[in-house]
Amino acid sequence: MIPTLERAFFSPAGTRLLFAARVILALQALWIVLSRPELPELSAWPQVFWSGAPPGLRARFAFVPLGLAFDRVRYGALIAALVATLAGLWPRVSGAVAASLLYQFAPMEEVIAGMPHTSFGGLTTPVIGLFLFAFAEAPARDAAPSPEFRWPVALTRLFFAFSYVSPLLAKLRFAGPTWFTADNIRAWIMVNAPITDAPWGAAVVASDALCWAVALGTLALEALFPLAVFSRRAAWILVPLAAAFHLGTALTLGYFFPSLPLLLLFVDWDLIPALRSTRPIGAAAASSQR
Amino acid sequence: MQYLYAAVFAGFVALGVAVRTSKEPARRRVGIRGLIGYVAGMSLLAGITQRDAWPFTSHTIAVGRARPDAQVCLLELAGVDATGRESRLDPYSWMPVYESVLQYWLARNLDGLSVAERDVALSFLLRKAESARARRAAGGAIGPSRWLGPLGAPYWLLLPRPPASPEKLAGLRAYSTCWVPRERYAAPQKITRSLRAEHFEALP
Repeated sequence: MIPTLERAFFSPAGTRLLFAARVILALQALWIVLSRPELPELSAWPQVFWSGAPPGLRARFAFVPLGLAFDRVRYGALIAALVATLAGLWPRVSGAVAASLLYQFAPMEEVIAGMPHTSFGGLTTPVIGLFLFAFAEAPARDAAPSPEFRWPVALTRLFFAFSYVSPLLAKLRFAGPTWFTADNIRAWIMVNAPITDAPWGAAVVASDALCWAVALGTLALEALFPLAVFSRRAAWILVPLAAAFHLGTALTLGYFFPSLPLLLLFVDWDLIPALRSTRPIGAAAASSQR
Repeated sequence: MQYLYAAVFAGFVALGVAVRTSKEPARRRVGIRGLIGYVAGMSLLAGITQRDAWPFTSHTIAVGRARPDAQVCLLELAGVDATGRESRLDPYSWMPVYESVLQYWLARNLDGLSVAERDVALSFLLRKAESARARRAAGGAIGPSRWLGPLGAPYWLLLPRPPASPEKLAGLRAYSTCWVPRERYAAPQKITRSLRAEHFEALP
């Protein structure tokens, strides 16, 4: 167990892994932020709407009523910080600034209702990941392989893996093992159908085999996904399975998974130069994860 | 509880800063292990306790046994034009607040508002809805596609998007809409609606 953890978090990795992961996190965050151009406008909503957000919640995310102009400047600063992170300009400082502002902006979509589903907004992993990358070394592009380039990526992957583990724990707690049955899947699709009108819902409801496949596939994915953090072979299977799962969930339930691009974090980007050459950086990194 | 959640996040940042400022390799490695343990521990704790200390979050959605025979009720908003005709509104009409979030807020708060507060809220929402309708009717985009076009990231709950009405809105109605999923699955029109609030005003 300990050697597996040590290898997953501290085996030397090339800089390409760190750079690629940082770009994926920044691009993901930028995609969501640019898809929500009205975020700063919330501060101009009448006070009556804020009755659902208690003072403690506002303080937690530093919602300071300094006006629309201030929030527009903050929103612009967030975009600038993400672009700088993406371009590798002062990456630790720009990453920390971006993560801090993401922490404040991400809950804005739902804060008036008490944030029931902020974790599904697609910014949860970028907040933690960009902070982790700010805490780690910022290597020169030709730096030798180092554990410093592995642990922030591995920890970001582990954090992301909890988006599968935690729903499993919740299902076992609130419904028990019978959550993973065809009847329950059929019932969930029926409950959602009038709201989302998802295109594949009717076809899945009509088929016992499909309902069982969804139930058992969900169980397998949520229980096994953490293995993708520790094993490249497991990632080869689980990451495409996860992508198919999220596509299926959107088409049968109408639940989109905005964090879908973050599955690219599980690609071992160090392998790419290793495939093109026999440089020791890539080879060392490739063998270290096996 | 909010301050406890804030402290959980502050703990993460503090451990990270300790790693960042630690130069001696052995000490730094201990700090990194502590940070890994903290992130894993807090994530696991959030999952087990189902307490959402976002970004250490419980990821709670569709986790119970679905009850297709139990009544479901939503508080829905409908637009009304000058002729009195109702239309369904685009779920992105109130961005940055999505329709399902607004429904949740209305369900929890509408009855507790004074008449004046209700007027303020519904007047504001009417203006937002009309602004979004007008933009769409003129061929513009709202919500996630406003800047990124079709590449914009939708909200996680994919609600149907009706076409924009060509008629200017003159009012909003809030209905409590209820149904039994299994019955409605077989007969989509099997719903009951009751008017909870309405607001009309002449918009410029």
